[in-house]
Amino acid sequence: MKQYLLPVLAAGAALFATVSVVRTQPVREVTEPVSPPPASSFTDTVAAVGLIEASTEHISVGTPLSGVVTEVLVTLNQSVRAGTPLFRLDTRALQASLAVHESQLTAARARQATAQCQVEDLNDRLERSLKLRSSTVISEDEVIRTRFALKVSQARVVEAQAEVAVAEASAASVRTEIARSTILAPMDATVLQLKIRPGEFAAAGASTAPLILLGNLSPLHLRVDIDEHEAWRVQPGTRAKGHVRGNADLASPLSFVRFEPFVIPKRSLTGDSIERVDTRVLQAIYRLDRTDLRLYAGQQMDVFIEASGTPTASR
Amino acid sequence: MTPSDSTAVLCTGIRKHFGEDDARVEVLRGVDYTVRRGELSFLVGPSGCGKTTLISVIAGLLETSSGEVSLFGNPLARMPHPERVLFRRSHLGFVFQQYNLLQALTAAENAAIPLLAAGVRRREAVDRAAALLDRLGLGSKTGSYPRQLSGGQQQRVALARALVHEPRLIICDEPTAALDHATGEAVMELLASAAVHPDRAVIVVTHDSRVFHFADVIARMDDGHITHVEPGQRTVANPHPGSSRNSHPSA
Amino acid sequence: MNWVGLQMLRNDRAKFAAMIVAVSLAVFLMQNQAAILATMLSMTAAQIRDVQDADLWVTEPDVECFDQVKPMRDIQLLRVRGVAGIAWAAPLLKIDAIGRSEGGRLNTVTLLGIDDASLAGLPQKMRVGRADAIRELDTAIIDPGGHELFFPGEPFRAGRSVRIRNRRLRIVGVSDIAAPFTGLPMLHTSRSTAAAFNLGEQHMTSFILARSAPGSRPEALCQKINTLGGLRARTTEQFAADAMWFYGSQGVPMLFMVTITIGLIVGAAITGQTFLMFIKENARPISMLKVVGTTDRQLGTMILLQGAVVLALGSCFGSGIAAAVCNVIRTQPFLRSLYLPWEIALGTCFALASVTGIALYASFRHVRGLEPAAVFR
Repeated sequence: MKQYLLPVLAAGAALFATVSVVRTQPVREVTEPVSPPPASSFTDTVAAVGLIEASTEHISVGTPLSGVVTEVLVTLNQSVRAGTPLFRLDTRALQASLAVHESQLTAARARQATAQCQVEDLNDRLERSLKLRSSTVISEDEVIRTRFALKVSQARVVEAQAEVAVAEASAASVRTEIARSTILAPMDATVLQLKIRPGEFAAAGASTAPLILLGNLSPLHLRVDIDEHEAWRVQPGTRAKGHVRGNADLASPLSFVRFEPFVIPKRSLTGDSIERVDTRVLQAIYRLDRTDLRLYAGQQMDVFIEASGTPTASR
Repeated sequence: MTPSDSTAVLCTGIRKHFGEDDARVEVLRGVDYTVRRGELSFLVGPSGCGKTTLISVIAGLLETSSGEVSLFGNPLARMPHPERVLFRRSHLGFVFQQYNLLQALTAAENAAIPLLAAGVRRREAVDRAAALLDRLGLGSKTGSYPRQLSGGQQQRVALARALVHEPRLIICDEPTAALDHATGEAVMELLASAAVHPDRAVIVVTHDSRVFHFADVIARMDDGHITHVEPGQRTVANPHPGSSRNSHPSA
Repeated sequence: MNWVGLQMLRNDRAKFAAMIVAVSLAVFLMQNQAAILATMLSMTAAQIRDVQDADLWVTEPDVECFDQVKPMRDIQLLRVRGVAGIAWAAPLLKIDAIGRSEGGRLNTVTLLGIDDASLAGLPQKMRVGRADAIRELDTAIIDPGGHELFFPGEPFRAGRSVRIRNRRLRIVGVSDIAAPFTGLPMLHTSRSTAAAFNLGEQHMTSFILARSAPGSRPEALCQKINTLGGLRARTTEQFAADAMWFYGSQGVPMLFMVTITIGLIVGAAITGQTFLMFIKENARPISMLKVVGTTDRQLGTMILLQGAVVLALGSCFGSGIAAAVCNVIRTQPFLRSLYLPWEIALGTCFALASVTGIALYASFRHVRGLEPAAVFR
């Protein structure tokens, strides 16, 4: 038995070594990602990223007047018809100015009435003077003076009328300003963003942050950035598919709408304050054909467009 | 002298020298030596007379410078080396002065070595060796290691090793030199009774004159020659007919 | 006859033991050093191999390893996606930043930003927690070594936090990825979270991970992507090999090779010398065997068997010791990836056997030259 001790021990050591070595060999088995990235269903593909937008594109509603907002008349996601008031600005100063102008109008009208009375009075006097001219009670000279006085007062009436017109125009102008302080929807659309609240100051002019963003959400459009190197491979009207980020199984067929005729620098949508210019892209607009997906304007999608030809060395 | 069927070993005119020119040493200077079947031949002589060289030549371990060696009609010197080794394996047995037992093996295993070398399976070989040891009176020691045995016992194991494969020629080199008189006598007794067989020749190299009486023939050697061949005194120990001491050629 | 040889070997206990010990120690030394070398090299490729869901890596043309980050333009991802035969492609962002634990420990960390949408490249094996928990904002999973650096001696658990650039990154799990060569903590987080820490450079993509579609050969896809220009695509194994070559050609591995060679030479020398001594001391018994008719062929087989037994026993014991030591070392979080490639395990044994074979041949030559007649003297 003793002669087998050494081989048995050695076999044990070898077994232990074998098990250890085998057990510690790094294993690399191929696995699937948690949610696999989208895969193209076409043989030749141009891959791109698209941004969902309203079919009307996005309308940033601005204000013609600067002022404090007193009232917001719509809510987020509300559908509005053209002409629906969206919000109102503070008009107290304009109302006060309107009161002044209206008083001035009243005064002008009064002055016009006074002048009118004077004309009538002089008319009357002139008629009587003419009747009495044969007598010598009233001299010729007096008649002539009366006639001139009438002319002056007639001119005063015209002046007063003009004053009334000016006062009326002023009041109307203020009323227009008041009307402009209520901002109306320019078209039928949905409120996509509401960045203005009562009490906030709305500045007139172009702004990077729109006060209210309007757009028509049915149907949704997809603005697809296509790398300029790949642009030649994309034909209008070919099939395309957009995949929802986070679940590549959710996809919608896309219908070609149009190309933007002008190629622009691509922005990488990192959400970073300084966005880096990457390359130039051709923008193509596609319509999202599926409506049952929960998709939102401003969301990114992975897009595969059926391409013609295979890419060759471009650089 | 003509070789006949009864001739086991026939050496004619063997010369052997070592070295060349100034260092040349003539060890064998024309040896004629014959051993017949069934014969127990003693090769005796002083140290350095060439006994060891002669048996080395007979066993095919050394090449001759000239001369012929024939074992049972086979011209050994003309055999190619591998064949000679195989011839030695199956037809020759050896007993050495220093026993040359393997310390790692038991008596039976040591005795079985020639069988193992011939490719006999281990169990069978050891069984056969053990049976032989039993016949040689060492039945109780088959499992002992050489270091546990006395010199006489070791030499008996060596004797078993020389006999186990039933060779036709046994060469013994000073088998009793390392043993005391009584033990040597016993070993020679055993050798004479177990080894001698009508079809087998035994050559014993010795200068132990105390055991000369076991010899059938005594060949005396000196200075590279066989100087004298005389009949030995073994009468009782040779019960086999056909090995007559009258027919020996004289030098 | 072979059995006789083995008995002779066994009988000479001192030399038998000496040879086994020499072989054992040499094999142990070689395997141990080889394991460290192999592990070190594999660490340089560990992050590449740990990405199990991709089989292609696309980088800028001059990137040689995982630690060389060259920002990629976002559009490149789309170009890779457009290659026919690519199942999918996802970005991977790698950022170095300085992190501070709740306890105030400061460390440079490697942030890996995993694509938010697909989570491609997420570690597959976790010690604590779920890997996909990083979908939450400002969360990360940390590797065991990183956990040890930030929270030394504490048991692995989720819920702690690390501050990076004044933002709190909540640790939601401990991954079981291979230890990185740099030794820096590896934090897996979402790409959007990682990008928030990426102040200096504006890039969002360091590597593009891609997967070949069923039926297309990754190597062929690499070729295709490479012809696009401006990109370099490699299979995971090619990239890993490049990374290992990149570090491997920097000299340190040479030192290990020297040690391994010394182990080989010393082990073989002691074993061979002892074996030759064993044969020479047994010259007389071997001569006796030759006299009784053992052929050279039988003796050669005997010697070969004796050598084989010594080498086999020694290799077994040496490998056992090496495995035991390796197992002990692996309990350290930073050395958790220590492993011995099985090819090297076998290779060391065969290398030693080959060199020792020279001594066996010398022994055989000696035996063949033995004068059998000497046994009569």
